[in-house]
Amino acid sequence: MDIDTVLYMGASAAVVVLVLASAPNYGFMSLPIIILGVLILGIIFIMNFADFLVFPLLTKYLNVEIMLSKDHRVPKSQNCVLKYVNGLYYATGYLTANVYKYVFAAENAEAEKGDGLSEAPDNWERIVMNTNFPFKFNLISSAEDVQKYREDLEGQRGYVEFQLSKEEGATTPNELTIRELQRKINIVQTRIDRISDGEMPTYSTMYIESTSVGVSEKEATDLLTEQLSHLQTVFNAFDLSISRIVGRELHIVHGLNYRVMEMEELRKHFESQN
Amino acid sequence: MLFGICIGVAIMITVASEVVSIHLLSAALAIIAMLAALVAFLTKNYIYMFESVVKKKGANLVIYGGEAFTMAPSGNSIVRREGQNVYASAFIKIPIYRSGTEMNKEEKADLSKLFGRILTLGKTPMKLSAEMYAVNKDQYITKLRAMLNETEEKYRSMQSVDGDQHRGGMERARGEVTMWRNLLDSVSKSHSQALVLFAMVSALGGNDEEASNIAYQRAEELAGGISATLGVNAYVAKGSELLTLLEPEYMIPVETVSERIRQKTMSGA
Repeated sequence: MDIDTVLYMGASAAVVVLVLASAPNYGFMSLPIIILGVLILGIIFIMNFADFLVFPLLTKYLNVEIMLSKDHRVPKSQNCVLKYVNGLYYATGYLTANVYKYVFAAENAEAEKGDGLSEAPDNWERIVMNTNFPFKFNLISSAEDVQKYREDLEGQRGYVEFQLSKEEGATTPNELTIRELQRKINIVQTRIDRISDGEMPTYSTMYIESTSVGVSEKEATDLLTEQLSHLQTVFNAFDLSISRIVGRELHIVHGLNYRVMEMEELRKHFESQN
Repeated sequence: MLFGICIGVAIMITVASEVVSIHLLSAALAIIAMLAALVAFLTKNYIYMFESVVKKKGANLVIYGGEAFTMAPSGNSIVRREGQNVYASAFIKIPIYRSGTEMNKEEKADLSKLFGRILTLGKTPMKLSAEMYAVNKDQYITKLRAMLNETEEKYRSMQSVDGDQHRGGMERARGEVTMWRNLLDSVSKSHSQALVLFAMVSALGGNDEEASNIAYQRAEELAGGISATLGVNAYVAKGSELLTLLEPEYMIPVETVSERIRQKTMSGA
């Protein structure tokens, strides 16, 4: 969670909690205030953690369409960007592509790494051959500061090693905890070894984009849904966690077509991807 | 700013609700305080929706009313304005013609590693994209359609005069009409697609020119790095080349797709 989110959520929730703490002072109104307070706290948490569900609901209910620029319109369903050109509707949709295998592969880096790298060109060609509509695979990356990254990893390893020695020295050491801590040390050590081998740590974010065309808005959006489902299936070869982007995140990702964000902005928006 | 005001108001009302001894009034103040706290939280992501709620339902919210981007005068980058900031982005085309099918396992792994190396070429974020787009057959289709119209017109004019005199010519014109129609059908029926690999870098500048120059310089440096790493001739894309990488109507050209849609509709009918 970024600092802004912590600040907004923390301060708003604190006020509600403050009111709830003094609820007994409100006499017969105590119960309604407690119910309202809990409801508001719930809304704050839902809006913070499930914004992708709440935002499209709001735009649908309020019948709001958003113009991202002169020609680009986001319909109230908030699942694509529409452009109307020469009597045709172009719908562009986006998919997230998160690598979730990495942490597990890192435990046994050598065995997994070799296979993954040699399979990648074949997997990619298979995807291209099996797709007969336009799409874009995008990868935003930036090299990290090696020294700082290594120091961070060493710090992490030191902390986990300290936890391990503490657990081993305990009167009744927990076998499961020890195994878990050893696993964590292995992961961090593998990452340090990879950097020592000359690999550069990279910050990266991936997303997939597809465009469909139709004579009506519905035709274009329906076709886009079909295309995105197809891409979800074919990109499974890369062990990616893929889901459709809806809501405000769609506006951010659409903006990436015209500008690559600075590192800080990327970290803020795609915190969970890296 | 608005968040600060809302939270400030919420805290003040909360304090007031503690001080007031009348139950009903203090409860009312407590409710207002909680609602102010909720509004304060909503200012984070939903501030631009307030207008719609306040004014009426069904409004079109305009986040930015201008063009999504403009082409830099030099033609080698695009410029985008976001508030007071001016950003320019330049694109590097990477023409690579290698296929995994003609490589052994080690060569495939090496190719993947080379791509991995590209990603660490600079500390400035870059976007590496592979785009599959529909090949632009607009000009060819327009030419075919013109030829078809011309021969159809010729055939019709021959039909209107004495049939016996122009029988040979009519047969020939009918054959030509069939030929152009078949050609048009076959050209627009097939899905011709191409794959392009490109990288994109952006830069912030005080004005269009400055941003554009910085972006171009970064792109040139990156193109050099990519060329050396992959052994290809990567170059900074210019002019209309950029549009295929950006705009949907260039990714799926209008005439090409219109003809396909027309045929699909006719075959469906």
